[in-house]
Amino acid sequence: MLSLEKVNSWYGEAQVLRNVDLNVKEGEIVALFGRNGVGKTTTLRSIMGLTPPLGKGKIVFKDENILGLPPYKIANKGIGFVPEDRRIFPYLTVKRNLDTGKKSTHKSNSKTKWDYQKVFQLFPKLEILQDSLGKNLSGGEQQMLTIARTLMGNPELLLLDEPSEGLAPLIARDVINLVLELKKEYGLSILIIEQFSPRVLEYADRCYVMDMGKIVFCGCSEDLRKDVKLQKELLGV
Amino acid sequence: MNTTLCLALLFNGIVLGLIWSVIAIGFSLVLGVGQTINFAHGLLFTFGAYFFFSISRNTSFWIAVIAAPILVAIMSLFLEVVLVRRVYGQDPLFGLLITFGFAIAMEEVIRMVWGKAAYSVSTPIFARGQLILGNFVYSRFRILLALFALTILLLVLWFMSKTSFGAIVKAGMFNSEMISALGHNLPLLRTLVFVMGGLLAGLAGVIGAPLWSIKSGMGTDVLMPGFIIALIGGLGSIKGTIIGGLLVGITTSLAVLVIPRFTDIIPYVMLIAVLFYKPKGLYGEVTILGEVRE
Repeated sequence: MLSLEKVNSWYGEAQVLRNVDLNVKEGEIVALFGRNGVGKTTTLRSIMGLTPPLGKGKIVFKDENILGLPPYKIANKGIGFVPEDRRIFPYLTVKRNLDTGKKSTHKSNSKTKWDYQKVFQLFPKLEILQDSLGKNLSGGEQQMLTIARTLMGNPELLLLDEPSEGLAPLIARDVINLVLELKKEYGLSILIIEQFSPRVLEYADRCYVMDMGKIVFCGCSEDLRKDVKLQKELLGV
Repeated sequence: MNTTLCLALLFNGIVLGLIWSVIAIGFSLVLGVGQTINFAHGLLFTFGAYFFFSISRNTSFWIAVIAAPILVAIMSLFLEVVLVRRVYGQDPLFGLLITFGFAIAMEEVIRMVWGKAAYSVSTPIFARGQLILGNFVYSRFRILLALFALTILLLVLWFMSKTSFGAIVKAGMFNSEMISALGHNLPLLRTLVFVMGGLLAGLAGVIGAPLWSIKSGMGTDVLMPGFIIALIGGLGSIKGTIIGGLLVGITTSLAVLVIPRFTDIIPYVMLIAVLFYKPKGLYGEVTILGEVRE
């Protein structure tokens, strides 16, 4: 479904991604691990066109090279992005935040066509809070809203940047369960950045580890779980 | 104190505040979504007044009311496509300078086309007469102009708070990158908002033309109050801009009774006072140029 081939990205003079190769198959959850500052978020931003990669690399989504397209065109191809810092619109109500996720031009092939009703089924709390301003929601509620807002655009592939960051353990567990549900019940493919944890390894089909802007490990979760040396050296576990 | 005079000044303040609010909202939208300080906004207002004057003289009042703002909107589309689009995402100073330069050049064009003389628009027949309440007498035309401005403001308020496009515009004022990542065509959104700002400036020009003398520099006189009101009300807040406009308009008008020589500085003093206590303005959602400071 998604494949990155030799992707290189820069912030000004500093090269952040170095020949990154990565792929996500349909219906898969792929986890991307690494210490802070190794280029995980930049990888997702590069896929979305928010930090456009340079050089001869390719980002292929459903057999089409999307490298060089503006973010809105990439989103309209069927990729949904849930950023690290949530970025809800604090002065819009929950319902109007959801409105901003609707796309008028996207001809989606996603298995589920999301609307208010479906979103509220998945996030009953958002229905209760639909007239509240985004800024008045708790961290967990804001995270739900960010994911719900992205779902309103009917994505086929979801890019999640540390969705459980800064959340209380119980709420973080709910978010992880939600990711699993999105895959199992709604058929979404997911590329997720998370802090390394056995729980994440349980639900990810495959995982990658990054260091210094490069992919240094690619394999199934079980291989990474067994590789204690790699966990210690690159993930600080 | 003379009650009739106070009432007249209060009404003048409301009319002034409503027109300034129409100008401020257009300015605020462009600043929020395009992150561009559009110094040509006053010029677009001036063109609104001149187009209204010329069209109403050669055709009819009602054709002028409709055609003048549309012509200004087309002009703002040209300005956005040819100049402003190039400076999006760059240092806001570029946008300020490029629109400032355009405004100066176009003021010369106005003088070349219409000459240096000031013009005035005569009151149409249907609006002639006075509103008389006891001793209080007030121009019916001014009241109609105020109602027209209020209708425009309420329409913008409805549009921004009830439609999906309004939600996207408001969201774009807060975080334009996220709007793009959600699948919305940001360049097109910026163009549409710039044209919407131009349309509002043109409408303000139509309302201002019968009240003030029409001259090439009239835009400069309204640009600063518009800018100040946008900041007092709070960028991103239509309600705040309307309230800010009324506050500044009424205070400036009534100040004639107390400090007649210093009325011009009232908006500036109010701006300092408001921003001192509320840096985002009265109902502000974002600080200037969209930088969020929670």
